[in-house]
Amino acid sequence: MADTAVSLARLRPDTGEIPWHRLLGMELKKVVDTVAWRILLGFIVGMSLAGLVGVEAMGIANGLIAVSMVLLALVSVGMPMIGLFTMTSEWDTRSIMMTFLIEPRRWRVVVAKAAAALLVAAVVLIVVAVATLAISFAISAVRGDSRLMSEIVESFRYGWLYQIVSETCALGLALTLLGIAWGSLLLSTPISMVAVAGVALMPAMAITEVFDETMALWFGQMAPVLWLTGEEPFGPWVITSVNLWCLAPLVGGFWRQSRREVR
Amino acid sequence: MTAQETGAGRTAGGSPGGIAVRNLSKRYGQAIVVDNVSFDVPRGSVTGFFGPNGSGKTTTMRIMLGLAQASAGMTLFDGWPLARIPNAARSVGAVLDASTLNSGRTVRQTMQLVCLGVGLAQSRGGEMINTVGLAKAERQRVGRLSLGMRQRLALACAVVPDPDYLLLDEPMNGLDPEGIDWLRAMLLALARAGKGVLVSTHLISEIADMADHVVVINRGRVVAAQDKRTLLDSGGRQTIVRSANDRGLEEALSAQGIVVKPEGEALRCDCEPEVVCQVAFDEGIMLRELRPVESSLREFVLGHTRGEFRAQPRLTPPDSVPEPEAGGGRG
Repeated sequence: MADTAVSLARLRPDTGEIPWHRLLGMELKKVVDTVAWRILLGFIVGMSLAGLVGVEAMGIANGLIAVSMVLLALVSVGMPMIGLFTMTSEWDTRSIMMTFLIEPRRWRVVVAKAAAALLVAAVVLIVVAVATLAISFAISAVRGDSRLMSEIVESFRYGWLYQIVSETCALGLALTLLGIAWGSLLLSTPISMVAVAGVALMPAMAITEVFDETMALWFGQMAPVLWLTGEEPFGPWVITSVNLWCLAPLVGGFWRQSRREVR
Repeated sequence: MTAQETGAGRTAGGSPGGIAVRNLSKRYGQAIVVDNVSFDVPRGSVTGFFGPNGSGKTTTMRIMLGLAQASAGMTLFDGWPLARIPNAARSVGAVLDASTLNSGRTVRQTMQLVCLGVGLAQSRGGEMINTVGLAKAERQRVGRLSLGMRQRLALACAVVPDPDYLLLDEPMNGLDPEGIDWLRAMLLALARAGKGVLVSTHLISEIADMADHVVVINRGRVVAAQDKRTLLDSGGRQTIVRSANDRGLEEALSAQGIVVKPEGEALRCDCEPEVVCQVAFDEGIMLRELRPVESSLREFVLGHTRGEFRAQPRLTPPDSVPEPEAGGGRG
């Protein structure tokens, strides 16, 4: 092994392995410099902000609750979209060929893509959280309502704010991984979108219909969400559900990407 | 023939190196698309990879680059599989299909991405854009470029890391005559600089004169893989001759067992000019023209690949569609 390393160094003394930060940089650059990505991110952020204004205007909720509702909608819909699109977009456009010509070790590219998806999802979440809070403050100011600030202070004092933030982040992470897993497995944006929507809605409902709620908790997709939102305790059902709906497609997807023919 | 025997694919340490393709096969179900393909691409030369459409050229190159899995066999670059070479794009550049560049990115952004990945200064990318003549289109999206401009951009992306080997699949596609001349000059310059260049094409005449080595593939099998000079010499030389008595010369040559065919107002003989001279001298026939004819690469390749996807002889161009017979029309 050491001999091989020495020989390789002699073979190309001017080059080393592409470092991880550069692979990650490449994937992040793809997010900011392609039209499709700009449209997707603009749509996610725009819809979140429009959603907040709509919720406030229609009086469905206001203040911190309205912000929480928007963030919940964002992580439920936007995060899986970011995850799956990171994995599928280059296969859709066939530009994956250039990526694999630069780094033929596909597993490194796939890992960099997954990391980029999580990073982009985190940035979008932060941007939307800050923007929605700012808009919420603005609406409160226009209405002459000063309750928002006291709500935040109170939430902070009693630990609710920490709970909201941590739950939102954990849920965002889980759902981004779900998107990464199914996008990686199916390698097609429209098919992955249908699959993720189906995974998010169907299995638990179908299992409950055929069997019962206990079976749905174990073999449905909701166990990790219910645990993360504090509605159910942690147990083996969470691990089973995560393995079945996220880890299995993730492993399958990584294997598929490492072997699929690039045309 | 092994990689060690040919010298190709030896590891570092002063040996010439090269690309060694060994026993490459690819099956799709029952269909064998690439069948036990072996050849070498030496450094400092241009290797022409010829074959008709569907002969397996592109699939072979995709396997060589790790874009498709081989059913059997391997490819070594200086003795190493591509996946074991750190920063592979600095060793092996390739253009297989210019349409795979992301159409939503500009020319400059595309080049920036390559430079970022490979670890080059962005200024190097800018220089390369100028070199391939895309400076004025730098801010244009790839989707708005013509096929020829995309081809230039793809070539620029492959060449910018200054790789040791360049694999090009039908690189003349979409290029105008000026672009083809530029590409030929660039490939020759790269070969002179010690790089190994593999060019796959069915446009034999475009690179016939610049190829040092030739690989001919047909129905997934290599039918010839050797030095171009040796390959053409093995086909034997012919002679074109005109004389004061063509009929007499033809009879005399035929009597010697030499195949003679009329060609315009001259004769084409399957032998060296010296032999024709000797026969004419012996028969006392005055010669008016005598010139050797080298067998062309095009003839060689066509001779070894003819029959694949040939158009039906009964297919007639629209102009020559026969008129309906009198009284045979509708109505």
